[in-house]
Amino acid sequence: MSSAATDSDASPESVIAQKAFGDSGRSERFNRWLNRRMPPANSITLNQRKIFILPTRQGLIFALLVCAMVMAGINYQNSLVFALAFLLASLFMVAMLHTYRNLSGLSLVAGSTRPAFAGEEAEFTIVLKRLGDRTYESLQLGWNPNLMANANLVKEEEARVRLFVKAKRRGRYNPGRFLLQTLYPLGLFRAWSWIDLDMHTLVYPSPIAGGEIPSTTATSQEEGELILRDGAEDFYGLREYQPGDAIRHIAWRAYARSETLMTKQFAAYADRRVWLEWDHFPGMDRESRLSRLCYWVLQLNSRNDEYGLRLPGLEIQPGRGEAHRDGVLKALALFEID
Amino acid sequence: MYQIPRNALALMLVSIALVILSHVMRLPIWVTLMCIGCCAWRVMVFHGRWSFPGRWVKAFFVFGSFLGVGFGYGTLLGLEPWVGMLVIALVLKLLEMHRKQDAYTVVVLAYFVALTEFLFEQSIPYTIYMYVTITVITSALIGLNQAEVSPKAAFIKASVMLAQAIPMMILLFVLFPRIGPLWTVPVQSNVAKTGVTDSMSPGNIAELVQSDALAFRATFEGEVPAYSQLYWRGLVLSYFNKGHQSWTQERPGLYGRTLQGKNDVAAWKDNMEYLGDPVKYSVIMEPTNQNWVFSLTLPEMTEQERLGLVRDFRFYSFQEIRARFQYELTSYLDYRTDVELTDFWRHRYTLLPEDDNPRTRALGETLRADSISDDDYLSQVLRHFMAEGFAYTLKPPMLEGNTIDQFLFETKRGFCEHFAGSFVYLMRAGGVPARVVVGYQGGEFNRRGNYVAVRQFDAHAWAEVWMEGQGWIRVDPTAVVAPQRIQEGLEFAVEGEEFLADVGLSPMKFRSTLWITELRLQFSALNHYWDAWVVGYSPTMQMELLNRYLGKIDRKTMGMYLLGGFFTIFALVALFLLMKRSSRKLAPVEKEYLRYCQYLAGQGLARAVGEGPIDYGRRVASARPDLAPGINAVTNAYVRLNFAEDRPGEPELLRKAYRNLRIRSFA
Amino acid sequence: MRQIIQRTVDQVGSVVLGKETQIKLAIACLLSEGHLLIEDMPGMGKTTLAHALAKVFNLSYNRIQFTSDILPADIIGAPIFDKDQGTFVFHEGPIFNQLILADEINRTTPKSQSALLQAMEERQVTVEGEARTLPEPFFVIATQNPSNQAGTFPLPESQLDRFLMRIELGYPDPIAERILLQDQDRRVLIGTLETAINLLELKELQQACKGVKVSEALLDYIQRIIAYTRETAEFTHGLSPRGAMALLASAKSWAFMHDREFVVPEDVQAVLPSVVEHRLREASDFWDHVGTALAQRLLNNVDVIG
Repeated sequence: MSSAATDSDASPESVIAQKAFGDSGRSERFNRWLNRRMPPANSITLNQRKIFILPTRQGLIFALLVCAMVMAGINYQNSLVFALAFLLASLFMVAMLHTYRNLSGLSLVAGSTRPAFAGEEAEFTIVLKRLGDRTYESLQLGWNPNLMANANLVKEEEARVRLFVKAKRRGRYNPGRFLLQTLYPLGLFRAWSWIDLDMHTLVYPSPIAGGEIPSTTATSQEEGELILRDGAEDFYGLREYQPGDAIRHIAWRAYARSETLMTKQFAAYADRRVWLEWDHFPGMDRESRLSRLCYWVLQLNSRNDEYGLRLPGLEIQPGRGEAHRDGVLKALALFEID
Repeated sequence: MYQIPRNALALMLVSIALVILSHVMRLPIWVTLMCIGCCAWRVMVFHGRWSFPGRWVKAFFVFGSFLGVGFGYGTLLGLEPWVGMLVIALVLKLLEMHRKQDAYTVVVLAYFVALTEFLFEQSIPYTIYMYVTITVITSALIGLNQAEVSPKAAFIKASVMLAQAIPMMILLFVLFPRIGPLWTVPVQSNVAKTGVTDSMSPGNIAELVQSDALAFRATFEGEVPAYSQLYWRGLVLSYFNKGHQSWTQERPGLYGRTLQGKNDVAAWKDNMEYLGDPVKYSVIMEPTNQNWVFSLTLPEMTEQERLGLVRDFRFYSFQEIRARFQYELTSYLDYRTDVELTDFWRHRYTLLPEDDNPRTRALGETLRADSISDDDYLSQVLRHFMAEGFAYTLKPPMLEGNTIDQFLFETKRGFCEHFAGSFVYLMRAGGVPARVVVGYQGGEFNRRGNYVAVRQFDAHAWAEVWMEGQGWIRVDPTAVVAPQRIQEGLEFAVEGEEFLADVGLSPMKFRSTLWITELRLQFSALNHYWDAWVVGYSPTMQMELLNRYLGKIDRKTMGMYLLGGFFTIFALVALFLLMKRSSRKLAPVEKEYLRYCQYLAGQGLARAVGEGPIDYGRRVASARPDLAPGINAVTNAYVRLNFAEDRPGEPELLRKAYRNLRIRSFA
Repeated sequence: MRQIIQRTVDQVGSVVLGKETQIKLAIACLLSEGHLLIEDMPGMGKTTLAHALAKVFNLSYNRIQFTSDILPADIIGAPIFDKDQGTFVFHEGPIFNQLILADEINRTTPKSQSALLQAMEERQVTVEGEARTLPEPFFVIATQNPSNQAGTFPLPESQLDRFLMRIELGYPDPIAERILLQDQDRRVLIGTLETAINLLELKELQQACKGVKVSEALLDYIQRIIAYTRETAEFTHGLSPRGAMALLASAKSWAFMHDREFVVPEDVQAVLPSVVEHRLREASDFWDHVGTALAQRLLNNVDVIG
């Protein structure tokens, strides 16, 4: 028994943080053997080639109990004591089948992943799908045997389990094989498998505040200028009507009260358009620069500004929005990797 | 710290309650109270109101309980104190459940306490109760390993698993080699002896017949002998004890060797002559904690272990019968024994105390003087019982002093032991060898089970008299006074008196109500089979059964059968459990269409994974213009059947189109 | 009935040249009572398509040019004080038309965008606490420049779901281009288009589309597609139930337009790119899969037969 399972929430979408331990738990030779036996794939259905099963410590104790009962039966020459001992012995065998059955036929599919910043936790979603009318209960999975997420497939056709693994370095991250195990139903046997769904995700540089972004465009200086104009979205104030003001901007309510025509004024912060450049951070090493660039990407994105990126040998035109941000971050994550 | 799931704890408490409840009558009251206390404490701990007991409190509990058990039972060695300590360990462990492992220990202990129940009780209702208990304990075990436990789901799962375990269990039960005990084990102490005893004084048996408890059941091979022939000999009482005014037995083996096994030799073995046809029967005796076993005269020697044939032609068990005991015998109802009686034996069987019951002695001497032979004397004595106004009653008056005189000349109201005792006394007074026999007479025939059930109220005492040239013959003076007792049974002989007065509500009282009798007979037949085949499944029975069905086999072959059978059943259960049930069965239409795709794939025109039927048809038709009409027909049929209606239609049309396509391509 | 549809396709096609598939998709969108997003560079004939559709379907038409300074009130309308009566009178904005062309929707601020999107969703607008129902039918064709153009506010992903389909028009083929160059101005041509259908007929067509039969086998196929988007790591998120329903509704209309009373997998495949591509985003890790469009990967990987 290698683990004490955490009895955390057991909703179909259970969440648990994982400490990456990589493949350190297994020897190199065992890993090679595993890779031959069940090569990494995006979708894996468990069968007898992939499931291991052994009695747990409790299972061995239970077996001893059965032996003691048989001894009692012999010494007391009591048929019903025999019967009970044999019933429990048979139950032991049936339990093995049920535990095996609780993994066999289960399909695991690599779900979405969510990139992380270096040093933070990357999210991997694993989709468990059941076979026909089989039910699967109390499945535990995770990269760290001491911190396992629980999943059940009883009424639901599929369960999505989100696992978080700490990502140490920038780049493309593959967390390796994770453990899927179950003790259900009696805890006398443990069935398990080491599964590699060939999942990977991006690890962005860890954002570090600092540095200045010189504005490379003329539109704005610091926080952005406050400019008054017609089409802006926020109401700014009233001024006396001048011929030529749009009729839809007349403050009719004010007119109804005071008989003076007033015009509503609107204001907005001007757009900023920024180039994030490698050369903004002279004298720093590569990772430090990337970390600061990463910080600025997040800053600018949260302000909904337009920004572009220039790295040696790479240029991304300014833009905004989530897709743009993801593109820029990806460029930072993979810069000069392999 | 480990927090046991709420429902698992609940299931665990229920299972503990169930195992303790089955023992509650045997446990001192303070143990029961302690159990309740510990369970309540555990519940409070679960709710976070109380904390687990400290180390010293626990130590106090453990030592206190040890002392309590020791003093309470008077000993620590014995089945009951052991069970008491197991129960205490179980509930104390409940208060020490810090880790998941501790919870497992509680479950294992619960299983074991459940097991001990079978050392005391083996009836069908108890077995059903224990099965339910085992199911609940198993559900508690499931509860420990289930993330979303609902007690109901856990119970259902446990029931299913146990049901799947039963075939393997039955095989193990039948085939697992049964061997004798490996070492002696403590058994139930201080249990009451039941049934007839080895000394008989007036009033003994009348007391016994107040009970409707089962004494034994006998299954006959073939016809059941007539009711009046069913004299179950248990004890032969040869001595009259003056002080107690009671008849007692001669210790087995005192003057004649007790035979063990068919090949044992003793001089008196030839004194038995078997005549007529043998009667074979098998008896299942309820535990009596005494040594007597019951047989019809004259029993043949048997190989049955534990049993020995005593000089006075009765069987005797070398160990007290503490558990239900089964034995098989052959008897000959027609027989001759001790045709010659040596002076030694003649003396012993005419022996009376010097100076008691003078009136009886005088009567005996007078009658003997009047008779011409022993035979005549016997008739005169019986006639005396018939003529002098004796009455058969369940409530004989108390007798004091010379009890036989008092009975024969004053009260004249008595039960079988009065008649048998005074009759033998009279015979001996007349110089005729005679002895009292105690056992049961009659029994109720159960047609369903083809057996005779003998109950305590069938207990009886009669006499055996030795006649020149005939040997020992049975004489039942009760039959002279109350012939119905012998022909029909006790309740017909005591009409007017209340039968089973001291027993509360007993189905035995309603022997005249037909459906109750029917129901009772069915239930006892079931009980009988249970006791004979399950509870009584012994090493001998196992060998016999295996020899009957598998031929002569040795232990090795038996082991092969056991392993082979076990793994066959295991494989069948595995097959049943692991059979793949596909998530969505392909409709016949789709199967047929896939066959067509397969065929075209063989022609080098495989369908792409995401290719729809119409696109595919079009592509294939342009590649093979010769097949175009057939392909279009198949495509149209498939599309119409699979997509034009809510549910896929019958595949006939598609099958036909596909067949045509094959024919055309062949041509 | 079906000739009417063919007539509408032909009529629109006489003005918007060489774009029959896009015209059909647009009409399927209209028949499914959904809204259409056209994403393309300026000058590719987006306006012409919208205008032609309005004309052929006989719908009241208005075009709203979205600029950075347009306000929600400019779209919906605003209460104006009537001096003679001394009360506020609601002046309906351009949205009170049956067919709206929301041009260059990503040029305006998120606030104005959401005003339009909300109206699309609810088919009514609420001004000063008073709900005003929009005309029936109500069909929005929004156009958007490719998002990498400077100075734009891309529609938030969550809002894109409100459009039943997104299509691209693309460059005309050489033959169509030649005719375009030779022929009259498109705007003049639109004026010559004949109305092919009246309001009642349109409603009937919409009803008929809803009545197209869908078999269990086809629903299975759609569910497999949905499941694929949700399960595989290729997408940041799977298709929503709304997306699934959009796919089914569009496939029904497509089947109806192609003279079938039931939906076949090919119908689903035909509308799939337009219905799902704007609802899905590739996981950032899958940017490497250049060349195959999202929807094509779906089509290639999900089997038609269970």
